[in-house]
Amino acid sequence: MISLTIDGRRIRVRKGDTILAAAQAAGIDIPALCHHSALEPYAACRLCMVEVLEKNGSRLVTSCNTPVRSGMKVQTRSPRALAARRMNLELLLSRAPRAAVLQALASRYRISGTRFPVESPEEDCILCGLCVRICEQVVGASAICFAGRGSERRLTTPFEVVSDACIACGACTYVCPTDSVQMESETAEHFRERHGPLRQCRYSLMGLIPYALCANSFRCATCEVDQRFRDSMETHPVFVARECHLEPVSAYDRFLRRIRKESA
Amino acid sequence: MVCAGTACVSNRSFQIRKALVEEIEKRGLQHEVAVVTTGCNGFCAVGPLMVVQPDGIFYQQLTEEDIPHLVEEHLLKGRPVKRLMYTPPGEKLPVPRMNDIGFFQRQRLIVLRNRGLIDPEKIDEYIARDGYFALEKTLSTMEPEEVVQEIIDSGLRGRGGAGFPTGLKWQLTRRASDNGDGKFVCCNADEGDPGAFMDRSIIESDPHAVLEGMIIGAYAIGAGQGHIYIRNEYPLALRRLQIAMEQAREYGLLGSDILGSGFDFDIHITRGAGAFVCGEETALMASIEGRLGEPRPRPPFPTEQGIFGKPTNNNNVETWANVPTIIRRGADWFSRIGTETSKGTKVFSLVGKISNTGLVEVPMGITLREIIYDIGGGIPDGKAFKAVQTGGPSGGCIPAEMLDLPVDYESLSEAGSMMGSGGMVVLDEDTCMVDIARYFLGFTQDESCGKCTPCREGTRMMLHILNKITQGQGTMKDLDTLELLAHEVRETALCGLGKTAPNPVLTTLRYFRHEYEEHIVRKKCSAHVCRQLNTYTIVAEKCTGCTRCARECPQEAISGDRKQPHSIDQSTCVKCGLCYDVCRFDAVRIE
Repeated sequence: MISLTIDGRRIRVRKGDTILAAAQAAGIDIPALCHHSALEPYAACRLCMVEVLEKNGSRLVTSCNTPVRSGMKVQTRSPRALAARRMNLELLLSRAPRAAVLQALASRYRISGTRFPVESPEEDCILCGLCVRICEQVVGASAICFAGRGSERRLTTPFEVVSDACIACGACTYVCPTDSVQMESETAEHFRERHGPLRQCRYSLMGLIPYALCANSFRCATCEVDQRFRDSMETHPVFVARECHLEPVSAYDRFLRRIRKESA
Repeated sequence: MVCAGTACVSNRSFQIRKALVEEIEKRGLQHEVAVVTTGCNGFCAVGPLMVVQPDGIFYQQLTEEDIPHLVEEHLLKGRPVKRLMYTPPGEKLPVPRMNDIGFFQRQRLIVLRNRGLIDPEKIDEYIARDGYFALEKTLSTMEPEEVVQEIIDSGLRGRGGAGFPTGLKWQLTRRASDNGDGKFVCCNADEGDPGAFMDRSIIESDPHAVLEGMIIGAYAIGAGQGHIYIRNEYPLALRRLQIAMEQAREYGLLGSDILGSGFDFDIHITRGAGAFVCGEETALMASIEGRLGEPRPRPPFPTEQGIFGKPTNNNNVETWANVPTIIRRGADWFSRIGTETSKGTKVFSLVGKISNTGLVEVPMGITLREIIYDIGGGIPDGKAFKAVQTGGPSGGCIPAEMLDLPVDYESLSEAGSMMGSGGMVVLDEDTCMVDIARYFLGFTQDESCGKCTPCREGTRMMLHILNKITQGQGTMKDLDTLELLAHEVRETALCGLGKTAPNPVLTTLRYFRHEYEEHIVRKKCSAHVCRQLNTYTIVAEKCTGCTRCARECPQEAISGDRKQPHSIDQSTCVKCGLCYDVCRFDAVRIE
């Protein structure tokens, strides 16, 4: 255990933790839209920037990947850190003005809107890459990817065709901070079209139940197994299947509510 | 000695070499005179060129037709040909000997010490110039720690741009734990700045120096495998590197049990697929691993977790090429060259509005004035010097008032620019600084990988504002936004590309703010570069009525009878500037 100071509070954390983890453990909120504890730090949204005071001056670092050091002095809401956060928030708003999480953050940071031109007013994807990385690092399917470079970057499936690698586990919808990635009810049912051993349920593909043909004819919205998993686990099943860190995210609850509403 | 660097090759130096060989054989001189193809000589502005040794007579701007005369006069009769020698601008008499030419006089060669003297495709010529002596010394008399200490003592810093102390990096990689899996050394030859060709020329003129540096480094660090990441757009450099590696393997200088010392090391070449961001070291390593070339956050640093998670020491071509000479002549000798904090020399590619375009190697601490006027020969056509852009798209513009700035890492970054890999673009009075900022930002915006918010969105918005200003639609509020945005992008971007992308904007705002204000308030571009701010009119006295402009005008905005002065209808003119470009009588005036 080592101790450091965040916003003037002395905090004791494990060695090797990141500043973000230390702050969250102490109840200090730092927005971090591209971060998920089951994934490698990505440090792309640049909203989690904090100011670290050093002997001569200070520097801005991303809290999601910077490990704590003993005696470190961190300020999460210094003028410099806030200016950086506000500017990046404003830039993200110009890309994805529809993203609810950005609007909520904007009102919290007292930003009335973006002064930059908005190209697509209906856009809600902030290109945080959580869906791409969860699919690659946790699910192991790599069914989603980025295409294009720089401002042309966009979210798509490999070679822009419907991906055969997708097991319809829904982990991407679960981690998406803006609800931009959605699962279509039919997506889960595409297994119905398959033949022989390929005809598996998403829970069997995740390794949570043994291989079985679906008695419910792949209508996941009315599946009992699905219902049981939802009731017994407090997180997305893929995290249980891969034995990684469990982290409830509100997006998944919203997803569940929507699915239930659809099936009702 | 016929130069076969890229610039001379594109000016037919291979054909000239062929003509020379044929002519020499025709005269029966083949046993007296040897024709050697060398790497880039550096004086690219006057290529294709050759040097006749042992006198060191320098011939320039050769054509195949010149060769018979040259062979007969110089080689047979011993009378050097004055007509083909270099005459400095504004002088009457030519300078016969290469070492007397101002361009060469002020240079100090360490990295480029073999340029123009050896055939880069022959290992024996490199060895004859003390090549691989340092490797032999290292393996037979020095412990790895001593080698690291020698590099630390020399004060060598990374020549790729950031200037991290090389010895310290070696020490960090040496001390990093690899769990017995091995370590890597890596050479970054993914040079991509507009107007920069240092690394290319170093590899093309002396590939063995880079290899030797890497082998010595690998021994010091304890690496068994090396990688060279080179642009696929450098075919000649790539080929010479491959030839050099084959020859080194044949001589037992690369591979297993090097020089009988029991040390094993080999190098693998990876060709880049064309993305500028792959010159950033974490993106470069991802690309070597076969993944998408995108930077990742640090820590962990490559010295701890690099290629395939193993400790990796990444250095630039020029840094590696410095190593053999440091080992051979000692850290003490090396650290006496340069300034307090920046030791040794630096290679610059001198391009833009300058008389002597080319590649120069100068000691650190030399002033910009010495480089631009004494070596570069000043600005052509009697124009005034305006600024110099150092460090490519990551650097900044240094104005004429700061010509006496010494060139070292600290002075350049204090001026808001950076050493960068060593591109030096000279700008004259006809340059619009807003347009220059827009050009370089356009480059980085295009090359941004799109991973982090400030670089992906920020550079795009900065470019948007700059476009508005150059089109005469900017406001003073835009200028404030631009400055704030540039500042935040520099503070918050993920990798070096994004962090340095605003530098051209920030430095031009710092030194040439009045030009931005002129564009915004007066809607004028005094350099007449931003065409949307120009007004085109035809001077009746000069117009001959040739009708050319009227025919070329895409808007049909120009009218007038044949052999009568024409006029431009300002209401339909779109200010494309085509009339100005096509007029042969200088009759189109820009206001």
